[in-house]
Amino acid sequence: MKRASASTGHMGSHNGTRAMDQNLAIIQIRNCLLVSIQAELHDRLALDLQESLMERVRAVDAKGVILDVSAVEIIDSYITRILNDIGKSVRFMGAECYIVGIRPAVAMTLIEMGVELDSVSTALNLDLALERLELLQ
Amino acid sequence: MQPEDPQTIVEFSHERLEDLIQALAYAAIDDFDACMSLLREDGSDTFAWLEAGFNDFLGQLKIIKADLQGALARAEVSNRELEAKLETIERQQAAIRELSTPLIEVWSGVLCLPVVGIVDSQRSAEMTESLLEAIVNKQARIAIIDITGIDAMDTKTADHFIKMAKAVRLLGADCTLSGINPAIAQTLTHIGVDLTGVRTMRNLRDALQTFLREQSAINLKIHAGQAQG
Repeated sequence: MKRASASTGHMGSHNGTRAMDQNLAIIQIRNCLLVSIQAELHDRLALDLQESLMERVRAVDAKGVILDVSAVEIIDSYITRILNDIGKSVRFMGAECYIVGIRPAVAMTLIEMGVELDSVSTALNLDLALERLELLQ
Repeated sequence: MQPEDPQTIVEFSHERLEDLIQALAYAAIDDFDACMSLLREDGSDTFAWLEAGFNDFLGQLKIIKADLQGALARAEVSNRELEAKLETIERQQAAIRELSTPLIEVWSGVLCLPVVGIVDSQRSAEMTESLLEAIVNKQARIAIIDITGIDAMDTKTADHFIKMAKAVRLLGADCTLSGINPAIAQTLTHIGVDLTGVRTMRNLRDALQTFLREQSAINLKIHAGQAQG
């Protein structure tokens, strides 16, 4: 699970986040934050991500947050709850949260489980999410 | 060993006993004709009566066995026929399934799924799967599910469509339902189906037109933004 460890360098000098050790890079593009999740999203990792992401949103005054989950094969109800929480918190801070690249199998499973991912917006890919965030401004 | 009562002694030649044994051996391997030819039926002495008794039994056994074998053969034939029919049905079902989910890219980024016939849970799962795969592969922004070909809808079917629309929205594409006929509209209202998040349009043409209009508005806005920047 350490294959994307090189990308953690993007975190720069930001400190105090355990997510840093876990292949999660929070990248800033203009006034948006992008997190490309390249590892399996387990509970601890998701909670760390939530924490460090909120810090960064405040630090850079981000207008949008994009979570790329195209490499994530399993999203369970707990992870969904955390994603919804992230969406709500980001909205409280005046930004918009987009989840991009949900896999078809993951989408079908979530629907079959009856889990709603309704506190975040979704987009097909990074490009479309950026386009929509740009239109909001 | 001396017999106590001389009257019980029956005399017969050793050959006749051997014949009887051989006849039973033939009977054991189902060769009834060879078996019965060895047994005498004249009833000339006590041993001959015994042979006649065996003969009767074996004759009946032969008839019953033939009957059973005939019935078995007939059952096997009908079984084979049934199996062939089942196979045909399965093949046809597969063919219908293939036919049932045509996905048409009517415009760049617009996928259309015309639905005809009965939508059960298996079919809806297959439709959803192929629709989601196609959306990701073609990066389609909108999926139009056209249900002009459906005459009636119950709660379950409506639920399948709502699930399909939700799954499409999870991927980040929009989902439009087009071609709802008056009967279905009334049913959906009557059973209180919540269609929020699913856009409904009169027909495929309207759905496509709306998408194109909105897309050009978005493009204009982007261009305006770029010109300003």
